[in-house]
Amino acid sequence: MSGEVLVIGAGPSGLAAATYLARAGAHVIVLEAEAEVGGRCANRLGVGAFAVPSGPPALQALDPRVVKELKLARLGLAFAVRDLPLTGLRIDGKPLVLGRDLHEAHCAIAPLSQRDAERYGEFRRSQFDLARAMRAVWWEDGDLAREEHRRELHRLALTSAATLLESVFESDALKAAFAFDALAGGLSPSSAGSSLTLLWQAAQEMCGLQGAFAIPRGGPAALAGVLLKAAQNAGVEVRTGCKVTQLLLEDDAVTGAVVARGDVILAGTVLSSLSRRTTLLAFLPPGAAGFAVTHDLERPQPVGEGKLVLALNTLPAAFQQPARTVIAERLEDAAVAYAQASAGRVPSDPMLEATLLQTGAEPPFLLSVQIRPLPVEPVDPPGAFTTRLLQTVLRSLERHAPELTANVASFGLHPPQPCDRLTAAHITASWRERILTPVRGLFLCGDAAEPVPAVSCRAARIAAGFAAAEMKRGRP
Amino acid sequence: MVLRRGNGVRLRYDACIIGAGADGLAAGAWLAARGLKVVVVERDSHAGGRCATRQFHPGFRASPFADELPEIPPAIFRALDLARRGAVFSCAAEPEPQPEADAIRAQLLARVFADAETPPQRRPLFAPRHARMRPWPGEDLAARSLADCGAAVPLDGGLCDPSLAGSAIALLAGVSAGMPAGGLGRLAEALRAAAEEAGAEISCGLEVTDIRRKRGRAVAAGLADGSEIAARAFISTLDLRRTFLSLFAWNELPRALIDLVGAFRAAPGTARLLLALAAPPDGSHNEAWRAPVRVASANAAEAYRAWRAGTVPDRPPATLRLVTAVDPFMAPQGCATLTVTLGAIPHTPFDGAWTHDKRNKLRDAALAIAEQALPGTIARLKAVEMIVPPDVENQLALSEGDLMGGDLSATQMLGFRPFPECAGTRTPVEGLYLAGPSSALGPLMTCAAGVAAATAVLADMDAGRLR
Amino acid sequence: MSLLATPFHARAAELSRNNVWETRNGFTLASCYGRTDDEALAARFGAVLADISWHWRIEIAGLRAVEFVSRLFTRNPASLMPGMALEALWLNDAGAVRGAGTLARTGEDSFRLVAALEDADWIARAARLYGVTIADKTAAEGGLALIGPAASKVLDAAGLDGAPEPMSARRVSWRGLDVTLSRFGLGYELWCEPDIALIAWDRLVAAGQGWALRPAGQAALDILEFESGLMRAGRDYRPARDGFAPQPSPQSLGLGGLVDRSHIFNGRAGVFAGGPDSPLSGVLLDGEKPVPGAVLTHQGRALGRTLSSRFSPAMRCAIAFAIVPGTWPASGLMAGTMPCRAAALPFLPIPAPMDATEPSPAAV
Repeated sequence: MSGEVLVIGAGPSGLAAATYLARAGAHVIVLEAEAEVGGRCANRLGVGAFAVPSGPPALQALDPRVVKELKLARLGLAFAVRDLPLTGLRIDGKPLVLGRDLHEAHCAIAPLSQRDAERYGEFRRSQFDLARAMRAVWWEDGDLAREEHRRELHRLALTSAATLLESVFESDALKAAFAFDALAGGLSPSSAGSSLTLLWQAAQEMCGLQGAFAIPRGGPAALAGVLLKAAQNAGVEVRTGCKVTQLLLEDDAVTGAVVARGDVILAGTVLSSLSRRTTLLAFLPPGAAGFAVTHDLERPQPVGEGKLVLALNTLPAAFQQPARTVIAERLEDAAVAYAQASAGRVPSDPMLEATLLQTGAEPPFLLSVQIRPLPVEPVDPPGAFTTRLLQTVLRSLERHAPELTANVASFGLHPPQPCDRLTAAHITASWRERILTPVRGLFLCGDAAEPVPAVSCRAARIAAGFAAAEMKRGRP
Repeated sequence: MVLRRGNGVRLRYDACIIGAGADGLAAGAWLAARGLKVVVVERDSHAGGRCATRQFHPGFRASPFADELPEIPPAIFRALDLARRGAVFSCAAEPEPQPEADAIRAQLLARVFADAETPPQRRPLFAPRHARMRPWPGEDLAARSLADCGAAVPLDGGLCDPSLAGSAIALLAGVSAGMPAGGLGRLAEALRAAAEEAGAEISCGLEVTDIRRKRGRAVAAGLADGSEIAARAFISTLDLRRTFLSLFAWNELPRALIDLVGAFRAAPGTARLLLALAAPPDGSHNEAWRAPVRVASANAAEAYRAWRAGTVPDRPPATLRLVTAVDPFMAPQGCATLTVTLGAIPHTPFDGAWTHDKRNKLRDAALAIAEQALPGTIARLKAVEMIVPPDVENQLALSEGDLMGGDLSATQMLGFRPFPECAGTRTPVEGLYLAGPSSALGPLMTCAAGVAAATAVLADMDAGRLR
Repeated sequence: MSLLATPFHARAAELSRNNVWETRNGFTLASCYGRTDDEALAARFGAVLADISWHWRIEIAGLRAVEFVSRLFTRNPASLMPGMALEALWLNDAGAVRGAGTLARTGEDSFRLVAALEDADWIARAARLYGVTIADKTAAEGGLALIGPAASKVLDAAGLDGAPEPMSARRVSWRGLDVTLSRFGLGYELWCEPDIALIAWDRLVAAGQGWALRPAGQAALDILEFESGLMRAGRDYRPARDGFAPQPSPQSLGLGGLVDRSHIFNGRAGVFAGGPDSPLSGVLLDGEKPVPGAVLTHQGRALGRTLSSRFSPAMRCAIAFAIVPGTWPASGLMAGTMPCRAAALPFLPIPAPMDATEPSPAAV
């Protein structure tokens, strides 16, 4: 099967999709705007003398089938930490550690609330059961078989994360531990459908463990490197420094892309790992994607996720163990913070997830803090925004680790990027609806095609399948 | 369609309908749609009878015999699909509401159809000769006079002395259905199309001269050219006199029947003037001229008496109709067509036939009436055509030129029309059915009498009474 | 009752005998002046004059107007000459009908849309993508419809020479008044500014005196459209107001004829997925009471529903639109409890203006 395929964006999804298509026999060209591949996994954020990825430091959704089929382990992918437990820091008392072992979690919760301790096991079991059933929808291009699962899914699609957690648990500490996760994808925890993100996280699998967070050896950049090798082995041509500005259409089918320099690359199939907004609004002539779609995409999601990395000289006591540390006082704060972020202001009490990384050089520790929610278009000018954000995060951290500020050697900030709006319908839609676009031959294979945005490559694998099938059918 | 036949050729049909007027065509369409082999025989060269549009002057058209006809019952109008065949009627003029008369008319329709659908029972031996008839709707009207009802005298033949008891019956007659676009000829075309599409044959230019019977039953109709049409049933849409007195020999029918027919009185005749005007008269752009305008001059009783005496009344009751106010295409651009209908015109004046002088005198009287109502009419006059009752008789084969088919008096209406044994549709002659103006529904509704006769034919065929 | 009056309201108020009004698109219009049946029938004899100022009209102008209009409508307007018009639909992303109207080209880069139901938000948002301006002209001018066989004669008598061809429009200087004459619908339309609206009305009425011209209300207009087999959004079907709902598709409404499949328009993929056209047909009922939304049954089996229904004074029975997939049964059809039969549209021939060159019908 011959044919030119273009993949826009050499992040993990782009590289994975390119590899799959190359293995199916197509001639694939990957166009990357930056000088190096990797997207969110490339070490681009400078912190003092180091460079770290601008995305999350831990992976939770990397599709095990991709790892197996592309033989990534053989190419050098290994994991340093396989299962980060969720730790909720408390100002008053010990941190609440929710690991994989249910008995230990029971013991950790019991001092706060006996009832919650009993309920926690049930809650997690039922969540994981439904999440496993939902793999038929989220991992395959399929449907839920059993009626009770469908009903349950429908109920969850109408429930907000806040309502769900409130109905199950009573202690603030336990609810707050989930506060960060409830803000995934830029959804407000009180919006309908936000409980689906919790379910989706439970449906993921890392290193054979359901719902786990794992850190690759070498960081996410290692994943990017391994995928690049796999792509190059398969015969994919990766061109860096080529920024796509426009897609060429003939009638309602894509015929090629125009690069910033002015070069035109012709291809009958294009996969884009960029956001739906960029692909359909910026790259296509107006209206080509459909008027309603265009109107919906015009306004980006107002709330996003930012990253602050602090280089520390000494290790604060609170962050001793390897863990995914969530810093949030109450679940209600999340809704307030969301409202503030929607209005364009830095929230006074954002939800933080901190992960400790060791550098092996000076300064020895890096604290990687994911911050949710943050305004994508802040009302403050960039300088003031950075200052205010830094102050807010340090203040939150100081409550748990005094003298932290004194130990900060340098910092790096990655502000929130505009991304597509997330809705409950998007999370439960079929893969076809997320991957296919109104333009024939144009597919989405990155975050825009995932149910919840994450580094996963699952969408890329499925999108590559769709694209290959269409190319084999031939364009009419 | 004109058939050519040689002498002595017999053609067999299920039903033969004499006269292709509105009733005849409707009956033909009805029977043909139900699978019968039907022929409609018409003396004139084209079908339609009094539904005709005539170009009486280059570019000027009007319906010569009447502008409007009584209403076609909605069920029949719909069943024959007349609107889609080209007959679109304008809205009837806003009538003085007469719910009583409308209700009675509807009941009469139902009654005649019910009678038609019931084949007559064979009289058992020793049963009384004339069984008591069921009462007819509207019989209480027959006891009242028009003056009591307080209604205006309806024109177009329903003229009578309003003070006489029984004159209220005239209320039932002739509520018009509005003018068809393009004149009554369009209605004829639509009915003809309905009949032909249903499969009926329409033969024009053939005159039926007599009906031949065998053992008392009508079996064949003899035509003027000597050939015969054999059929199981015959429907005559001619009026009473022509049906019984001209289609049979004088000694064929029982004496009593002949006496009854002879005693059947005609209604006062009408004369019509068709005026071609070079321009619409002054004052005719009024809303009132879209409807027929009665000239409120006539004393109906006086006019009736004058008619009985055989004279033309001094001030005959007149109705004026500015046809182009509704249908502007009946005259060339900028011109107008006006019709004048005069009531109480005798068929034969007492002092002899209608001579040229008498016609001119009547014409002048009518023009004077028109001038009075619409000044400037005479000045704009381009042509006049006049139709008096003898013309109607000649052209439509109606005795005494009587479009009503018989006087609308209490003794000649409802159950007595044309006579009790013949109420509705079946005649004393087996195999012969009466539709047309002299039947019970004739003057009340258009096409209804024909369809009622057709219904009777079907009922009798189903009962096996027609061979 | 709304507060918007058309430019012809003064005349409507004078002529209205029964004071029956209705609201369309926010405007107050006379439902009938005297009797609806009278007015509807008058359109088959002479001509009628009706107020259509309530139709939604917009002016689409901009450098990329042709591109925008090409994308929005289901037929290609690029080949229209200025002054010509075509009828088209516009669809949402999933291929459902959002509206139907007549698109006329007024210049190199400007178009005018006349539609029965407004869809301002959608079209304005879409136009923003192309940098094209949308100007709402509904309140800026009045419109009159002149329908009937004598319509062209009335125009001649009024001094408006050269009646427009079907689906065309032109500006005319009429003894000092600037008006636009068009022929989009059943007869002619005259569009003029509100200031001169009453003068135009009076001139037409004076010219129509010799041609039995009557004013007609909206109910009579509806009946004429019904008898001519013309569907209208809002009255006969509810157009989609969602960006992604797939119903009603053009095929399910029998409007497949207004969709040019070889043209690229918004919602094209949805149309291809929609299936074959189920044509719109008519139902003649054996009674006088209209039966909107009645279930059509044949020997107990349900076949579909009627859409909307009116009483037709010309045919003296109630008529209805219906869409039934498959073939109609020959007899035994019932709409609700009333017997009925199917009829091909139009129910009656359209009361089109008789051309001046046509000879008047011959006498019998």
